Amino acid sequence: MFIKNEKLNHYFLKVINDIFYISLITFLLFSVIELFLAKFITSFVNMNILLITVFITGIITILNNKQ
Amino acid sequence: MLNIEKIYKILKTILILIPVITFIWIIDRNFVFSGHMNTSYTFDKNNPFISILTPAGRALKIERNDFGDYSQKIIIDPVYFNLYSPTKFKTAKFTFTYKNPLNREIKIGQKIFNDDWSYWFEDLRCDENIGGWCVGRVEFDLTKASLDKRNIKFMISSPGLDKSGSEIEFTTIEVELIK
Repeated sequence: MFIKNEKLNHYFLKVINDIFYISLITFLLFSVIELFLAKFITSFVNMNILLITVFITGIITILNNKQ
Repeated sequence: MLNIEKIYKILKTILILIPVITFIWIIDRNFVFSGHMNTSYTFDKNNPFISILTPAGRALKIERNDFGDYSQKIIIDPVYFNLYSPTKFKTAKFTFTYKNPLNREIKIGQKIFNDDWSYWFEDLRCDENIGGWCVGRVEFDLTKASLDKRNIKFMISSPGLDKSGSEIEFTTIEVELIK
């Protein structure tokens, strides 16, 4: 990882982990709303950005949990 | 000095608040508590509220001119577009920016019944000329509108356009929706 300080590195990964769970829950919630109320979310928010955030932070979280 | 645990907690709170605030904002945008909403379609990218002009063949593909403006030409009338209405509105004030080289009659129609033929028409006139583009305004009473999955269908008509060999080019469709 980019951050050498072990403590900082630990918190950095915790933040990434939090972003993953928060964005995943948000994505699932928004998807369910969109399923029942078409365009309710996608008229205003780009869900692709949310999905990309879930993927990137998810990969980092999985790789970190493996180590 | 703040310790790292405190910074982490503040950051976590912010991260939780972002989707909560976004969701509140989405609800506000859907129910339009302020009473009016504006949107502008400039043909450069998809607008969630105003669709492109259809059908293809009557309306040509979207083009980009030398000045970087995007536009869509119509060569056969009528063409249609949909307006997505997230909630109920009373009035829609449209502003069209277009080129009409032969000053042909243009009518904008709002679908008022659930058949394919009932439209309420308003004349589109060139109210002002900005850089070679006509700016025309029309207003519709949306209480009469026919809604299909929150979409209101509009027609752009210029009778005899195909026989004239002319074309009408639209570069911006702006709408102000009022409750």
